[in-house]
Amino acid sequence: MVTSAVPQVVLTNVSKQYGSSPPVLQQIDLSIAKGEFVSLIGPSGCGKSTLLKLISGLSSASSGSILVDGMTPVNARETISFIFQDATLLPWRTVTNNVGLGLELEHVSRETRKQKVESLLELVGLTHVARSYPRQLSGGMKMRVSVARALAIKPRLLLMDEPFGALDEMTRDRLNEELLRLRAEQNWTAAFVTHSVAEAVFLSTRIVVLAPSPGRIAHQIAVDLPFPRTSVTRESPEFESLVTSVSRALRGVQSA
Amino acid sequence: MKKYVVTLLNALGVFAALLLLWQILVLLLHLPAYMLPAPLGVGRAVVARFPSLVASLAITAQEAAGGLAASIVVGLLIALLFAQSRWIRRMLYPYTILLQTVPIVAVAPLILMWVGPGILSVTLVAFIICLAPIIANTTQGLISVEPNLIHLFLMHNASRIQILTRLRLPHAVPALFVGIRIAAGISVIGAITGELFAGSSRVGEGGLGYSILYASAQMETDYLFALVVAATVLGFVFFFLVMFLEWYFLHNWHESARTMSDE
Repeated sequence: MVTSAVPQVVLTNVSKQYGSSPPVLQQIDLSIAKGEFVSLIGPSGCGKSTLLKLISGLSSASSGSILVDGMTPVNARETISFIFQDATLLPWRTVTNNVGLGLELEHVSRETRKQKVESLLELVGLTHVARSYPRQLSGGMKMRVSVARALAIKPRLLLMDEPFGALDEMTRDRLNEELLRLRAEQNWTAAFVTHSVAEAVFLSTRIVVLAPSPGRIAHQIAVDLPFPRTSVTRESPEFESLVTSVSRALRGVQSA
Repeated sequence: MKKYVVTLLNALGVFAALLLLWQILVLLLHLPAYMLPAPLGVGRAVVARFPSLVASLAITAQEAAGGLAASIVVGLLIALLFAQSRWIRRMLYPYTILLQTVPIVAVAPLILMWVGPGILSVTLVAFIICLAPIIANTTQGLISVEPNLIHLFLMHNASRIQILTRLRLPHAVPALFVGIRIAAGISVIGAITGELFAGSSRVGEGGLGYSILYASAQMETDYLFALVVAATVLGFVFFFLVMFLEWYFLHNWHESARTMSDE
């Protein structure tokens, strides 16, 4: 895994406020280096999803600056993929055409699209359902299609907003392992919002713990578990102790 | 599918039983045919007047279908306009409600006066009565897209046109069909209402509505019944045609069309 010190996402003194209500996020300074996998975790109302929306440019900051690859988020969009809480598949499209959506919107030719989608479906193990419609798939499968669609445009930055939150634990664990395998092959940078401490520890190179009202960064915890991480990783004492310390940090911000 | 056949057989069985009851009642009560003809009498009238019945049916079908088709095209265009901004909706939506609440029976004579009697004015009446449900449902379908789907498209730098053609329009198809289903039923009512006023350009030839007036004036009650049955059948055919189209276009992905065969 190539984790260089070159910052890919830089937030400087970022605040977000809706109208005259109290700020959702206050004075956030956060830098994400190329190749990092950063999880954002915190109690509800700490603005972690808002933070992700700001980095994607879907929402704009009230003050402060956000740069992605040295550009404004909106200008950097070609290199960013967003994976939402629900799979957000288009029900009238087959799996193949859902995965190809981003390429289609970016005017990639039909031939190239076909090739790319096919190899991607193979990569995420969806070839056998290529012609199925979303309603025929399980929740885990749908999410896998969503991930494939996000990766189709070869993103350099992947933003994920609790993508596996609605899945059962076993499916979630398996998808986590697959996500890391894909990351090892494609080497994108990731910002990942989750409620699950274990998921955050398993996936991340760094965990950012946010405190609520107003949303701010309370702790940053480096996760130096070696890659590749597998189901064995979850049983290691290092994993256990990281889960304990992140949980403790989380309890700290909740009771404060 | 098997369930569907059973449902159909049940419905036919009830229908046959009702016919039988009707026939027996007429015979027992000695009702004169001009008051209430027996089913067999209606059947005889159908056979005897078959060519003119079919001719009337064809005219009404043409008017209703024409009005329905025009309302789908125009309704979709208006819905597309409405989907553009909340301001447009606020400004113009009250008029669609007006379109729905205005009594068509009162407007039909006006249309006849402006356009002149004949197929065109009747089609226009059917068109007007069909328009509101198409506009209301399609607009709803176009604007009720989940915000995250819009976000997804925005993340891919999608243009407004792309969001419209690849997201809003396909998303609105089920709602459009709800509108078409409602409109299909009332299109026949609209056409017949129109015919009651607009009649035909030639005496003795006209759609079902015109023939109903004619038969009632002549006290041909058995033929009148046959015409009512024909009008009902026409409405049914329209409804099922739309149901089939809906199933054809949506069964792959939409719940409403998928469960239809199980109901």
